[in-house]
Amino acid sequence: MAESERGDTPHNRGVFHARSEIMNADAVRRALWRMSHEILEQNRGLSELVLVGLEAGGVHLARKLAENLLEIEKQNVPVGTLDVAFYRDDIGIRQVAPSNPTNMPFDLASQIVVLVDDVLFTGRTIRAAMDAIVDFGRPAAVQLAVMIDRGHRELPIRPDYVGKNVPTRRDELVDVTENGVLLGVMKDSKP
Amino acid sequence: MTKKHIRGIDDLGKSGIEEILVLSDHFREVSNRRIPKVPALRGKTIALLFYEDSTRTRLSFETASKRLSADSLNFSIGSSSVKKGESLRDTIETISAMGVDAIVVRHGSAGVPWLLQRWTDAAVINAGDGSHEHPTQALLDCYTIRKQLGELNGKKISIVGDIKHSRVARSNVKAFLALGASVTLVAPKTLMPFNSDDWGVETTDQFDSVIEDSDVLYMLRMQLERQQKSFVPSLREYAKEYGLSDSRAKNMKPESLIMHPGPMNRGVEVSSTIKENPKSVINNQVANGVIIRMSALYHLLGSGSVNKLEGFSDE
Amino acid sequence: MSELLLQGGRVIDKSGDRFADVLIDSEGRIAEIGKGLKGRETLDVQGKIVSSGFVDLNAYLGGPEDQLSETIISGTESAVKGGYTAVVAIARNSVVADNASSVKALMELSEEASCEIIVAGSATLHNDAGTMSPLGEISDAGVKLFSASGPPLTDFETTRRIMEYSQKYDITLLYSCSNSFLSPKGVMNEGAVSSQLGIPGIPAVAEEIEVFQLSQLALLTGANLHFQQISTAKSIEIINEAKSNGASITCEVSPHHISLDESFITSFDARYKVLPPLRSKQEIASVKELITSVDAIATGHSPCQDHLKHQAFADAPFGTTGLEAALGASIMHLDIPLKEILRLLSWSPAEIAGIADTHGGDLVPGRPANLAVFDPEVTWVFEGDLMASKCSVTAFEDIELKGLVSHTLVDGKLVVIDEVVQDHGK
Repeated sequence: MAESERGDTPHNRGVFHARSEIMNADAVRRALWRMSHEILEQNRGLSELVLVGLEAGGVHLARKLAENLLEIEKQNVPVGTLDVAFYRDDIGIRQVAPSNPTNMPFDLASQIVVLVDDVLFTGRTIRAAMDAIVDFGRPAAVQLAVMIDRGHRELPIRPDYVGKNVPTRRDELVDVTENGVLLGVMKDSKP
Repeated sequence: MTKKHIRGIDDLGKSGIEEILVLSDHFREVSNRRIPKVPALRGKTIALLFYEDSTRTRLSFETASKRLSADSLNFSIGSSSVKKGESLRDTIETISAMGVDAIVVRHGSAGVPWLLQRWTDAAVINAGDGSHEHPTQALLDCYTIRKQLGELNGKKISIVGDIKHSRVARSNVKAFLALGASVTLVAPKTLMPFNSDDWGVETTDQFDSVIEDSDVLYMLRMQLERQQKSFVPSLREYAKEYGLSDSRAKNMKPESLIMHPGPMNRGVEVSSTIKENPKSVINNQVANGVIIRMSALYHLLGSGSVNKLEGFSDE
Repeated sequence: MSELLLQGGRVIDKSGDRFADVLIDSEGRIAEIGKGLKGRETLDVQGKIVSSGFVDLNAYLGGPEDQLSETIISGTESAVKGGYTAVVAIARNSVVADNASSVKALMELSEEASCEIIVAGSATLHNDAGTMSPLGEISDAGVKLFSASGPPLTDFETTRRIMEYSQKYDITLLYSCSNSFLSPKGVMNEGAVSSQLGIPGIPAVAEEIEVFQLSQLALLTGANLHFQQISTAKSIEIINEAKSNGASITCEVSPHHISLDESFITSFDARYKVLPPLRSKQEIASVKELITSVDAIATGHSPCQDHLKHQAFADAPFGTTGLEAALGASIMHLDIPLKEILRLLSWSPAEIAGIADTHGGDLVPGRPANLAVFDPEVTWVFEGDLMASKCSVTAFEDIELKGLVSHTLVDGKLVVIDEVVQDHGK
């Protein structure tokens, strides 16, 4: 789910109650396959391209895209993982805790960086990610791949590659896993 | 968010210690980057109020602040900012009026961080108060041990030396016990705290009795003045009975650690070549100082609990 | 001054405990004690105790050299608010009490006081603690009590000689047993708490050794001694043993030593920094068991400028105020009859101070009306800001007490009415 939804908000306290399944496992798999081709086509190949998965939801998606690209082009694409907690704009307003340490073992200078996340919501996570990215070198370009775009942007951010566009209400939550994508709400945890 | 402090290990408890250790893995990665800096505490101001001279610890906190993009203000006894004779309370209120978010304080008298906390809205971090506590040292020691030996739970740690006057020992005892280690204090009676029965530790004045069993030998600095006040007859005798010589170190368990908070008196509590001993992690302790302090500052001014995503059950 | 009638109270003094009215004549003396009396002015004291006013053997009321910690005016207002009609003023600086003219000057200053002040002299010179001051000359000026803790503990000879010489005059030597030679840096009780906090401690045995040494010298020389601020049970036992062997010694315990233990210091608040230090809970329990063999409760009232207590524990001065909390702390914490408490607060210290003719003693017609009127049942919480003392930082802050003085009469004049100190316009 979108990074900006995590943290200690009433939104996130409690238990996730799924209301509907937006995509099943096959649909996710097909979307990833299509997106891999789109990345390839857009960038006319894989030279000087790296994938950066955002902790925590974008990491396995980035790895899946890399697997796909290896199968399609027989070429290894470097995959880094990025935790943007320390770049967020809501530190000090709510509890902000990182998930897993960043692992970016390469210089991004002159690379095309494809940020990968599970859900694009307000856009604040991606803004934070872009701030983080430039600390690792000056990329040639930064592109964005997301499984779900759920609307409600608060910043001028737009994705390059989208699995599915899903209109949502603000109070709803989208949960992306290998088994599919669920739409639901948070309810109070059981006492 | 409720205001937090790190005046002593009890302010953190086991969960607070765990949070800081986990955060430290993140800040270790940040510190290894080409640009070892994140904007996490941008706009925050951290006052460094050192009544005791300590360049090392102060620089460690300063570096930690800078790596988090915070501003640091130095009010230390060397500079003219700390006016001699100005009451502690007046100094704190003046600093607070400047709008600081955190105050890192080191003072020769026990209890000063507790007083400060009453007179300021800023978060308070204790960088050493008299012989009472030095929590960030204990945290970096826990982190160092965990990185080398894994979880502290069940490990046997022996702290050797002038326990009575050591704030490092007091914080370490609390932190190690909180994480489930067992602790033995080793010192001559003159340097053992008067009444440590209810500390939850074993005590002995026989150093050799703990060497083979301990997973960690934590050596404390022996202050040279103690000899003059008859705490020990001579430093030579102290070194003979309680010093970690190379021959004693040979009898240590494989996979055990030698630690020291620094600065060392070579030839007194440790041999001159102790840092070269493969069991020594003294250099790691120093390196871990900055990242632990980054975690401590972030813990107070940034985050709170480590993110445990609440289970998503389908219902 | 017209006749004042205290009506309907329970009158407790050295030899009685009865419900009676107290009539005070126009000269400020007790005219009659009995039932159904009539007076021109009546004060209803039903439900309250009327007792002889309290006498404090140990208070610091400031001095000519220090008007910031306390003054005679603020100090005695604090005293009368606590039910005291006489206070022994102890000098912090012996320069003011080591000769007759200084002492007389102090006595003159005391005329501004709300209650009677007994000036204590100093048994040694201010600039030479090994030399006796002119005890005879000072005693002729009317001084009975002399602070004698000048010479260091190791100067056995000087201490002995002062005791020997003192007997020519009807004087009592006051000793505070806190020279803490066993731990010069100690600032709190040595024990589990000081170990935990890493703060240098003063062991109980340091006081006990001093008490033993001095009480043996008292036996040897026959001098009159009074031990100030005793804080351990063993000290009391040593004193009792010496008494039983014929020593002319008395001792006092403070209200804070029977109500506050060392665990308060875990807050690092310097309001709890006192000398002798607050002891352990077990020690306090043992002291309370021996309280009936103690001769007085004395506050050791030790005000200082507030900001000095807002410092690191090790750096702040020792002492706490106590004049306004003494009754409340005693009733709250001592499980003994009210009459015993009043013995400790009133007639026993009056005898030690040599003023039993006018304070304490039996309330009989002809005596000056130095009285305290209080409700022994009411519980209340002490607030430093509301004290009459100049010093508002007190160890009793937020402490629950039982027993509250409502009226105090000094020489028949109401100096405290409904807990409010009256402007006496002297």
